[in-house]
Amino acid sequence: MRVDLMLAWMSETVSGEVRDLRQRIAWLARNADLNPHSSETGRWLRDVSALAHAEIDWVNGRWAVAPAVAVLLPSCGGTAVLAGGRRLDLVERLESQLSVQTMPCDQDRSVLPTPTSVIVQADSIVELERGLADCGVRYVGKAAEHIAHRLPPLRLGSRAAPPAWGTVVERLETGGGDGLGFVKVRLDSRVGLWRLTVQGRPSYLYRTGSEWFHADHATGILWALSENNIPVFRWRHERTDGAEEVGTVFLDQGAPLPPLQARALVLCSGQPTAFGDLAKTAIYRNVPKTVAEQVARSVRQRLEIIN
Amino acid sequence: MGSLVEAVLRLPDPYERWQARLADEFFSGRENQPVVMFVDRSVLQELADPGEDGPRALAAAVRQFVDVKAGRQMFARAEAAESAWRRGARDQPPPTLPILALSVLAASEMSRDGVIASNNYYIPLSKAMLPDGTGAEVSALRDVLRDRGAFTSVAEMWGQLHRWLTESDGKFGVSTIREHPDLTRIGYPLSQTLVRRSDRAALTRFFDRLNMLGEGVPGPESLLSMLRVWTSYRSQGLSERFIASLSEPAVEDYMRTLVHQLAVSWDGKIITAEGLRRLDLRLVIDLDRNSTWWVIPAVQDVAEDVLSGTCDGQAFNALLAVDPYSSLYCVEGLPPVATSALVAGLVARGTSSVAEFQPSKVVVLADNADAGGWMSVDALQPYEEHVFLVAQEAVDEVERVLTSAADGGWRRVSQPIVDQHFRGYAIYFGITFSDQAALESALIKLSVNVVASLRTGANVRPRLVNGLPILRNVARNIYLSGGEPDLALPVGAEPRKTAVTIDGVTDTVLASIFPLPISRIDNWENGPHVVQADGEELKFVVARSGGDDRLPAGIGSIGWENGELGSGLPKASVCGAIVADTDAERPVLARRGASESWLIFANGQLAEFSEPASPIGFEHISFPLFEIDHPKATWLAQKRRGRWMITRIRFHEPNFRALSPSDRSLWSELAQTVASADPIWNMYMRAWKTFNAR
Repeated sequence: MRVDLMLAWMSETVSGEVRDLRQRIAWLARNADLNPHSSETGRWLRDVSALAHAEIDWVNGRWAVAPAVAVLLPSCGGTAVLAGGRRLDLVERLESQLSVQTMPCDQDRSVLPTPTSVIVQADSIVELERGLADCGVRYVGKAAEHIAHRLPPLRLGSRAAPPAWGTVVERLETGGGDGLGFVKVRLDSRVGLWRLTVQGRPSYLYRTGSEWFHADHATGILWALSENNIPVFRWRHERTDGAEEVGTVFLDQGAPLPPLQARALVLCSGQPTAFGDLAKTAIYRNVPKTVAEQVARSVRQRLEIIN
Repeated sequence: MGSLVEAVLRLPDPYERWQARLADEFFSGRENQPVVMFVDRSVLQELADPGEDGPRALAAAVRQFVDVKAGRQMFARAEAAESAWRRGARDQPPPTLPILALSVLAASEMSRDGVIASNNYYIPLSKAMLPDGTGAEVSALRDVLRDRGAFTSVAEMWGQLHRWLTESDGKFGVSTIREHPDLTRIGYPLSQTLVRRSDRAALTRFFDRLNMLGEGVPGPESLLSMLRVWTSYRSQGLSERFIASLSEPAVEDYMRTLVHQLAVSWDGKIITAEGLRRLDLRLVIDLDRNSTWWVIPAVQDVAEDVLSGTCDGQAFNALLAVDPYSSLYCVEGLPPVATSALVAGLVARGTSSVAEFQPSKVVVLADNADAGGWMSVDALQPYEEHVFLVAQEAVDEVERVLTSAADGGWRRVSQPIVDQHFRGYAIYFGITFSDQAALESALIKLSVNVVASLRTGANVRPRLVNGLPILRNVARNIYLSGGEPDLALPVGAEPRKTAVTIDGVTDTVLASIFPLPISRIDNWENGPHVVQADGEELKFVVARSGGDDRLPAGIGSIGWENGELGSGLPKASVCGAIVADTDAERPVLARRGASESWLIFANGQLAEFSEPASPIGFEHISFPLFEIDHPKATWLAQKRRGRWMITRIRFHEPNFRALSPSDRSLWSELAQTVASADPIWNMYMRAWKTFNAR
């Protein structure tokens, strides 16, 4: 699949409707003999958002490409990865100014590959910054740390009316051996995350005692994990670079992350979220311990250090 | 003498009344529109006064002006009147319309059974003129009209009408009167029987589907070809006679021209035969709540109406109003969905519009956000998820298609649930078709009624779809290189192969709901390309970029503020990888692979340094440099292939003191081998020399 073509088209088109974008992603995939399910185009968009190529406004059904930037990877010797818009000739132009290496998405990780990671290097940051600027790309430094520093604490949405009597509902079960899962049940008085279908689409409500709150999928699940004291955030030390401890984050039980939290972790490596066995564990590489701690704290989790 | 002539030329009152009625019906307010003087019994009855027998009254009026007993000269008075009209202002139609109308009535009677030949025209014509005549009288009149050539005068009258319309330059309409290559004389009236008012109304739906306002009018040949495809499985409201004419060699040329004339003069409105705007009644099913209702997609030229109809013997009135937040009308009062409407259709008629649901054994539905459920659609779309509502008699056939051709994952809704609303029907959901060969193969075995719902495409003309279009504000046909569009071909109920030519290279392809992916055929060069199919020519342009070197408006138009995503924020806290009010780090870099590395401090002391481990988890990426960020060191000295290189870590003046023997030894080596123009390093060199000289 010529996935970089999709990013180039987004960069030319600049903004648009999510529905139209998903159709074009699916079209491009079909032209590569892939036949993605609609959930896969959604997954692709979440990856592209985490990679900071675009912002996806799911509520209003709009997307917009983000400014073209180079993000310094933590403790990687001045190596930066491109984020934001990327027109077809950008890599070619950068190659005439800087050392450029590309890292195609691991085709095995999912049906729909994400855009190629483009790595740029120079002998100094000054030289790197100058070469990027000549090609219209802004150098922004360690964006992962900047974002991690600004992460808002997890919070539930506005108050909501309880589901109507007789509505078909599902409740998030957090205690099962197979990890998290929604189970169709009759509406009862238990607290927790409930899923309803509204106009054919899932809608989430969180019940705390007698009150109901709107929630998105990720927030609702993370809130439920926190309320039940279920740790899912692990970090494994891998190397020390100067004062920086760098390692890998494991997020268990298929717990989803809100967009900015995912972006903070993904921009540590410039690579999309990888998944462990049965897709129950999300894996983020090259994450400084400080970033991992900030992300974990923002989702009401305590970072568990593993060896 | 003059008064005698005037008396002869003066039209009898009944004849004049019919002349006026026909002139008003066919030649008034028709400027630049094709005029088809279609007349049959029902049209004449509509034109007649209440209580009057239209066809008989017309015949009687004509006989007051035409002496059917005068042999070959029977039309002499009419010819004289027409001759006098020719010498006048000619600001009204020629005074022969009642006679011509009778000749069309006869042609419509003749062509009702589809057999057209000159030898079976004159009996209907004689009967039209003598509706109560005996067999002998009719037969005698037939002989005069045909064998003795009296009808030649009528043919000449048609010729005169044609000339008048043409000379009037469209003021009274555009002539559709044609000679017939074989049926010379009767060809004129015959030409007026092929397109009736209801056909013209039905054609407006076809014209709408062609998107002619946006894409222009196709050529006459391709228009006829697309019309044949459109009518291949359903009459679409067109008369049998009209549809038969589309493939009748004797009238094909005429139909081609006429349909094209009608297309060119179409005003963009979809109307019914009564002139009402046609609306679609669509069925919506909410599978989650097991509910169903009707909706009506909004059109531009109907803002409100009160629709009335009958469903299951119950009359209903529904109020239709525009909903500014939806593509559907806000409608109140439509009846509940009933199986009877699925079987027989449902019509709701208003003062300016009529909404209709056409019955089908297989109703295809697609997800529609405005409808809030699965809404019935005209055509199956490949790769899109659908729901099927299937009549019991078609269930076996449809299940065979689903089993052999649909993607996995489709299911049948439990029958007791379906029976609550659709007794005698089955509902399938989760249906997606993404295998063209499998679908085509499965459809071969199906009956026409079922296959039509599944094979017929959404397009009635070739169209470029999908792809990655750019510069859409400049043109609709510019595509990013590699993202060339697909070619969607019209698909009817029957399998159809058609020649497709791209940039002069022709291939034959099977028309299908699966469009032809042009981007997979070749690597298309930047620049214009031409596709020809079904008589139409489509152009697209390939470009590697929009070519605009300005920063496009809209980049970064969505961003984060206080954890909320929003549009048009003046200065978002986070947008992509940009975080407001932060400084980009600029670490000092040093090259890896040195045989020795030493940190140099401002006091001149040195400490051996080990390069940090290379990053891991980056396959095939080399990291030739590392960041050096010791809190106190000012320089890094690295030995590589016997030569020392230095990298400044920070500005700090030297302040040498208490160097160890190894420090001194290293400084001596550095002083001899490091060549640097850096003034700070030169300060360190001077400091070392001063220290060493003590």
